[in-house]
Amino acid sequence: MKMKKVKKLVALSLVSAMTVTALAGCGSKSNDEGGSDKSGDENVLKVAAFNGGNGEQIWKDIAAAFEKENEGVKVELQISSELDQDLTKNIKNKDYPDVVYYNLGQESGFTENMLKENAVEDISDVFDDELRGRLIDGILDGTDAQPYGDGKIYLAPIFYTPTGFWYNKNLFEGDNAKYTLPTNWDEFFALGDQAKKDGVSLFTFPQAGYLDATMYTMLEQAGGMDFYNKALKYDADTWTSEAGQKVLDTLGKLVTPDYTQEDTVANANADGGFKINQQNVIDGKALFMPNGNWVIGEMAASTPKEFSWGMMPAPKWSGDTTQAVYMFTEQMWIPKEAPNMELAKEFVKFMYSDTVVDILLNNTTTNKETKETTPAPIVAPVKGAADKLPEGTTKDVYAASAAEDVVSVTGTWATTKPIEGLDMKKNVYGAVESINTGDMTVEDWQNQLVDTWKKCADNME
Amino acid sequence: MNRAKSQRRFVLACLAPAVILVAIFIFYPTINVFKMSLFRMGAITNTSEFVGLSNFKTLMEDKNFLEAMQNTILIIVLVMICTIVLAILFAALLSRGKFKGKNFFRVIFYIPNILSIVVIGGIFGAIYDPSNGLLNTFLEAIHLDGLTHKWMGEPDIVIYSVIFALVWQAIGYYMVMYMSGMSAIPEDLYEAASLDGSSEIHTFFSVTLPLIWTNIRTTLTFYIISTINLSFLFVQIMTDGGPNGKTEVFLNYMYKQAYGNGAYGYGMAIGVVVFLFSFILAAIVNKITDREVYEM
Repeated sequence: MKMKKVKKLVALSLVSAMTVTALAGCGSKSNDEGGSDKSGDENVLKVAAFNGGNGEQIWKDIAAAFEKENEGVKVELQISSELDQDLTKNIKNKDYPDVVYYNLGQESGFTENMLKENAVEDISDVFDDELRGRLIDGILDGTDAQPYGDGKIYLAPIFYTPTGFWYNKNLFEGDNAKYTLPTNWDEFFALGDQAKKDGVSLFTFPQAGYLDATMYTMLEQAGGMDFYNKALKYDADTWTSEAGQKVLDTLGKLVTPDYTQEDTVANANADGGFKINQQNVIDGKALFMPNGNWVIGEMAASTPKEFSWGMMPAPKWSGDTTQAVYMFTEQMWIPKEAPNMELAKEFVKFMYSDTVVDILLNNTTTNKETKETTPAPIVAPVKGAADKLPEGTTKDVYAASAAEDVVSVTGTWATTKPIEGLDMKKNVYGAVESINTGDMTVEDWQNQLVDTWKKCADNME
Repeated sequence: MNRAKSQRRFVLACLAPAVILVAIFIFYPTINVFKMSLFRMGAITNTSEFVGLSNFKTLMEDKNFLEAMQNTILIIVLVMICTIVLAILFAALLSRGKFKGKNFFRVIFYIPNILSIVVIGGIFGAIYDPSNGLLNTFLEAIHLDGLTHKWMGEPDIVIYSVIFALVWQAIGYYMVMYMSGMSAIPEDLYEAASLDGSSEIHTFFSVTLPLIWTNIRTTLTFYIISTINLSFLFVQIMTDGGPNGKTEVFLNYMYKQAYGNGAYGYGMAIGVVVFLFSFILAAIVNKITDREVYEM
């Protein structure tokens, strides 16, 4: 009898212990929320920055400089490589940052989703005439600054990089040069046929999504700036027009196994496989790949000392007089619910000041394994910033993209309302893989794009 | 009377926490998923708009979803068949067979199950790599160049590459489950069978298999649930649905829609379909495998 009572007591106490521990988890969470409420303070500016290839130090330096220039202001940094997930959690709990640095075009689609949900503040007033005058021409005109294409700026382009086809410079210049650098598509494909005899492929792409910049460049190149801007806003004739057809035919030819390295598609989807594709350019298995100058740092560990990177814009068509170059920008934005709006706008403006321009140019990154520090200059879209770069590949790339006959292209596909069941990346770029494997024809791709463009046009804000 | 009452109170007190926890962490979220599937809502902010069954209507016409569904069904069926055959075979060999190193093999077979998905992704990355991968290099070494493939790139093959990895990972776990069932079979049944002159294979089909039938039935439900879940993890690491949707599965597509595409309500509608699908499939499988249970 007594034994039974003890058993009962033990069982009950175990049960209550289980309940308490389970509920304790919930309890501590609400404490956290309470803690972060404090930061609604007037002089605290919450800056959330994505921790990508540029490292953390740069944001600490910028924050310190901002605090120095604005007395009594404290910058609270939230630097994370999973910023999208962290911020989603915070925002769901109504805890908004003041300023966010997170790009368009990331896998998570975080910035795109904030735009789709109309949760990003219109910051057109930050860009007064004085500031506009200091910035690179056209950098504020694209859909990567005006995502809805309504003339209002929501995203501040704070860094920019020319993109294009990257290659091994030693193959095209100097004593051991084997090939001549092509400038138009005819020469480009001719080079492909020549290289094939040497057992080298003309082209590879890290992942299908990397063809975005190539596609933007080609659209401008084929149809001019008006056509390009209309295409970004889902003009119905984009892909059936002569220019659109030219882009699809050329890309369709480029990604066939005749010109694209045979392992490209197999590597593109595997975890980390994009680096194998990039390595294939370094190892001489493929001549060109679409990329941006971050690739230099990304592949540094497996790049031989004597290797030298070069970049050229995606070729033009013979007879074209200008050359389009796509400028990849990284954006900063302010959530609509930011508690400290005025200061946040000041901070965005500050990103274009001489102080920050210099901080960005002097950026370095440290290799975690070797502890080796290498310069990793970042360029703000401020006139003259690129001229201050140290001599080398990076400076050449920026200089080439500022040449007389170059048209710089910016922007991304315009933001629409969320469209259920749409997989933009798959519809636009994924088809490239199927064309490579012979599962789809260029015509299928064209039809798919026409459908997608119709859906998007119907859902423009 | 009083005693019965206090007994009941005690049972209730003991059950309450578990019931509350299940209600909070399982029932409430499930109902919530059903509710959210009727809304058009954002993934980040809490905006939402009631749209009725419109998400489901879109879903039925969504080619990407149908492709994901096809792939998932193929994966479930093949993984189930392959794993069941191999796991039972190995379990029978290891529990009834007479050879050295049985314990060693038991451990070896179980290892894939305790590896993290990321490691498995890495291993299969190294196996399937088109130029330097183990598989292609091996095939070339034994002069079977004709059999080399782009295991992760050819649209007709890639899904089988994923299935193979899933089976490889699952065998050990189910093998252990079947072995425990087999070890409960009394030795005298086997003795009686051998006295009757039954061959090993015949004994397996007429003694072992019928006696672990309940065991197998339980695992069938596990296959459905765990394959739906694991195929998501494997696909995310190995192919991310590529090339061009050829290995897209339910949950990966749901994730892409809910977070990548910002159509959270639509993602929840996919969740509802997956929930009903797995529930109904498990019920059907359970029904058609219903046999008379042999007592040991």
